[in-house]
Amino acid sequence: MTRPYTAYGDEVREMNDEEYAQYLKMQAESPPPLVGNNEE
Amino acid sequence: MTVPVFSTGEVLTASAMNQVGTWLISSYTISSSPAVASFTVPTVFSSSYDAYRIVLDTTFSNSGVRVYMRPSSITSGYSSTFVYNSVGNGTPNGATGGSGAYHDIGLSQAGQANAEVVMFNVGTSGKAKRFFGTLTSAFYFSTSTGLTTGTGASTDLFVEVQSGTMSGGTCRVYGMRN
Repeated sequence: MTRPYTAYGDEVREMNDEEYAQYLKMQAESPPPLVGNNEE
Repeated sequence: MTVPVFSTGEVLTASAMNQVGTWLISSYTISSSPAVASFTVPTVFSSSYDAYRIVLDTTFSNSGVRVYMRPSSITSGYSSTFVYNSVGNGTPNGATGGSGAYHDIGLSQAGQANAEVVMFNVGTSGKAKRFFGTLTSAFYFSTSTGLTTGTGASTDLFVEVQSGTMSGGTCRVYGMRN
């Protein structure tokens, strides 16, 4: 499976091991509580 | 010359330009081929600015995604409720936006004396940009080296989407000059 891509400035590449591990960790975390709301 | 309204033909002096409060620091083009799950905007934070406005205008592949931003040097020792700021967008994809669209902004309190205010504008393709409220929390910005959380400093902004990708568009960073 292809890893997600990341970019630093103009350089685009697949995430490295550390970045991918961090990405997976972030996905597993609960997001911060939402405050404020702008409805149309 | 009357700042900030200049008239045609006037010569803009250094002193006049130094009074301009908000500067476009970076207009970063987000990759579309391939689309990216994260990106870093280099060299945006510095001691020249007290606070920043970040405008993310891109197309998200997934609906209901949250976008996280943090200083790029901070790769450990943080949690989603500590450093991250999030932007949840009910219909982030421009193709579907506009029908009952809403935007929630979630900002985790930094709670430090040196924290500054970050304001986000979020726009999606095909939709007008909107300003999202009075946001009172932020990253940890220092005034000397850019931005810190106590474990390092960074001049770079890292943006990541929790799922899916961001494709095309721009991430603009404006600085409120000190």
